[in-house]
Amino acid sequence: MIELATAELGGVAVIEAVGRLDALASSQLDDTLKRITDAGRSEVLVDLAGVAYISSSCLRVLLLGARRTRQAGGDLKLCCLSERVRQVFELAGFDLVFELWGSQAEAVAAFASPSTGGPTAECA
Amino acid sequence: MSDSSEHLELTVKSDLANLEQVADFVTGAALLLGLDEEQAFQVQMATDEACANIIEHAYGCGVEGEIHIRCQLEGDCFAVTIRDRGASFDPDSIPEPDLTCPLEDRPIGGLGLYFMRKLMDCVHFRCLPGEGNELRMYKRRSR
Repeated sequence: MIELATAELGGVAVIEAVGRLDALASSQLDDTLKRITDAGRSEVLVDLAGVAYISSSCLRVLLLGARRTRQAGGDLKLCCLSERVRQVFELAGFDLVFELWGSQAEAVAAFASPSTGGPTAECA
Repeated sequence: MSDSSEHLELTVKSDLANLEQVADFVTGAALLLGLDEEQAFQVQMATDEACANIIEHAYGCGVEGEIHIRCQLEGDCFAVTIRDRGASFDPDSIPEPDLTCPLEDRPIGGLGLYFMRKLMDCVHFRCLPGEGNELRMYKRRSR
């Protein structure tokens, strides 16, 4: 079961996920991301603070969402990954293609200053 | 769910809504049979990927079937056996994903099987003529 709340922070569309991001949740995550990108938004932040598990199906959805935002000149960044979720990202090599930030504020600041470089902070 | 001193079993319908029940069952079985929390998470993840593949590909979404999961100790290994009666597939036909590709070129598929192989010590697929498919995965217990 997943709950996805959308918000706005500093001009960035934020998705706050709570629950399991398994294959059941992937279509819901995909729909939410598509609604945002179809509305012309290209700067998207996904907050995973409430997520204890993410499966390959949701990683694929994030990958496709990131491609859409980058093709539109923006990006999809992530923040507040738990240790386990970060391990899954690393296992998939997704830590090399996504910016993973420690907080929403840091990630939003990175949209404004994209040259700040490699984020690695863990969520406190 | 049935339980004996030797093994634990769960049978669910092939519905993505049952993945969480499968995860809870496998995590509980892994901890009960001596895996640590990290190993139990890895077994849960490999099983989740396997069952999602069965539901989405072996049966296909909308086709109803059953998934049978059995957990037991075999020597010093935690063994999870997953059986289904869906379509068979050749795991060797799925290429290993290139994890160094840039995002734009990254292949979309193959991650689930890759996770299963990376997280478990042994993964073995078998087609059972007339009886469907069997996947056996093993995780060695920490000493």
